[in-house]
Amino acid sequence: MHTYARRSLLSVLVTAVLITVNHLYPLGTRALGLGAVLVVVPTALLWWFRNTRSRAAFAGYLLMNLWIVVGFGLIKGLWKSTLPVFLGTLLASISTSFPRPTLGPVPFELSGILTFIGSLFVLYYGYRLVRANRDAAAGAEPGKPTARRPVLLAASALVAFAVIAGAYAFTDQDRWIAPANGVVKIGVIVPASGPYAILGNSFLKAVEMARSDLRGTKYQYELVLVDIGLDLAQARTAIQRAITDEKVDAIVGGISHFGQVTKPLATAARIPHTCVCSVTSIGDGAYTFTNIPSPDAEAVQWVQEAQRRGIRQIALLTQDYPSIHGHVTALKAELARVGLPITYVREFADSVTDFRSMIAQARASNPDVYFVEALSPQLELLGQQLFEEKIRNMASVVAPSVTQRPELFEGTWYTDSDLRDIGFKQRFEKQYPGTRFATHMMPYAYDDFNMIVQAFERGENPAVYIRNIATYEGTAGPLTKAPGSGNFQSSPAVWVIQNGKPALLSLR
Amino acid sequence: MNKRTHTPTILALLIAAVLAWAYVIVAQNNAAMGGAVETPAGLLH
Repeated sequence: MHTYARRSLLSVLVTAVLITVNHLYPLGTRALGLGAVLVVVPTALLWWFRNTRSRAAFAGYLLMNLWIVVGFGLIKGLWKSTLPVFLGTLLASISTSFPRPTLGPVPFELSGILTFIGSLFVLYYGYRLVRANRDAAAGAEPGKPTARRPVLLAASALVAFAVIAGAYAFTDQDRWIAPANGVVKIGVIVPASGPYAILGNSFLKAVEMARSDLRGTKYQYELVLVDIGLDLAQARTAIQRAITDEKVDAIVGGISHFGQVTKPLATAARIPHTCVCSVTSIGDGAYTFTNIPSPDAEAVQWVQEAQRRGIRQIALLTQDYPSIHGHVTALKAELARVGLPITYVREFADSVTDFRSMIAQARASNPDVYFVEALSPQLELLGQQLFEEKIRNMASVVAPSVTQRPELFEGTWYTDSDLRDIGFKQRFEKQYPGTRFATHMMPYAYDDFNMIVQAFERGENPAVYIRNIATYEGTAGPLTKAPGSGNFQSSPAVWVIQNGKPALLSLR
Repeated sequence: MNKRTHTPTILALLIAAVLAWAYVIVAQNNAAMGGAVETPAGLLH
C-alpha cells in the first residue's frame, strides 16, 4: 500500500503545482494560497492516515483527490482547456456554426491541459490506493491487474471521452433561436455623457435611423440604449446588466475603448457584437466584428493622395493619443515603403497649448505638407496657431471632420470614410438637425444594425450569419471580410474642408 | 524486454506530443483571433 500512497501523493502534489501555475493567470499571487491548500491538506491527511489508520483522514484525503479530479481536472482542465484547444478549434475550422474558441496565453492553456492529464494520474493512483487499502484491511495480498483490466479501463475511458466530446460539440454550436415574442432587442453600447457624448449620441441616431428605415420586417426591433458612462468598470456593469436583465440579442457599439470591454461579455453571452472600432484586434471573428477603415487603409489612401499632389516631404505634428498614434504608426510605415521622407516629427501631450516653437521647427524642415492630428481642444489650438503663421498646406486623417472650428482648416485635405451615398448624410441631417454627422462612424453604425436585422429576418443565428458575410454593400462603400476574420475592411476616401464644410474629393 | 519498463517513456512522449500540438494550435488561434495588437483605445474611432 505504501507504494500506491507515495505515488498517489506524488501525483496530487505535481497536479497541485500545475493547478497553481494555471490559476496564476486569473488569480495572480492568490493562486499561491490555493496551491498551498492543495499541497498541505492532502499531505497532512495522508500522513495522519498512515500513522493512525483514521477513516476520517482517509476519507478527507479521497475528497481532496475528488476535488482535484472533478473540479480542476475535468471542469477546468478538460472542459475549459483541452476540449476548446483541440475540439473547439477543429469544429470552428469545419463549420462557421461553431465559434473559434477564445483561448488564453499559451502557458495558461498548456497548464490547463497538463492539469487534466495530472488529474488522470490522481484518479488512477487514488483508485489503486483504495484497492490496496481494502486488500490490506482484509488481510489479502494486493490484487494485481489482470490482462483484461487495462483493456476495460481503456475502453471505458474512450467511451467516457466520446460522450464528453459529443456533449461539448453539442453545447459549442451556435443555433438559431427565434426571438421571444417576436421582438429582437439590440443593445446600443455608446457613451451618452462626458467627452464621448457627441459621438455616442450621433451613433445612436444613426442606429435609430436604420431602424426607422426598416419596412415590412418579420420581427420587431427594439433598441436598448446602454449608457456606459465614462469609466470602464461602470461600462462593464451597464453592459452586463443589458445582457442579463434586458436580455439583448445582439450589440452594436462604437469606440475601441468600450469595444474592448464589451468583447468578453458578448463572447460569454454568445451574442454578436459589432463595433465601429479602429483597433482591429478587438474583432475576433467569433462574436465580435469591427467595421471601419483600418489605420493601414487610411495610410495607403493618404500616401496615394500625397503622391498625386506631388508632395515630397512631410512634417508630422500629432497628439500622443492611442488612436492617433495608430494612424501615425501606419502612416510612417507606408511613407517608408514608398520612400517619402518625413522631415519633422513631434508628438505632443494633451497639456500643450503653445505650439509656436514646434511650428517654427517644422517650418524650418521645409515640408510640403503638415500632417496634423489631435483631439479637441488641442486640434483647434494647433489649427489657430498654424493659421496665424499663415500655414495652409495641412493634411490629416479624420480629425478635420470633427473639429469645432472648420474655418481654421479651410483647404486641408484628409482621409475619412468613403461616403458614396451622400444622400445618407443628407437624410440624417434632415432627420436629426443639430446632430453632428460623424462620417467615420455613422455609415458603419447603420450597416452594423442592418446586418443583424438581415440575420434575424433570414432565420439564422446572427453570430453565424455575420461570420459568413464575405462582402456587404455598405453605406460607405463595399465592405469585405476574409473567411474567419473579425474585421470588415473598407477603403477610405479623400475629403477636403471647403467653405467650412467637409467635401468628398475622390469619387469612385 | 519487459513491457512495463517502456510505459513511462511512452507516456512521457505522448504527453510531450500533445503539448507540442496544443502549443501550435493555441499560437495559431490567438494570432488569427486578434492579429497584431495595435492601439488600445480611441476617441476618434
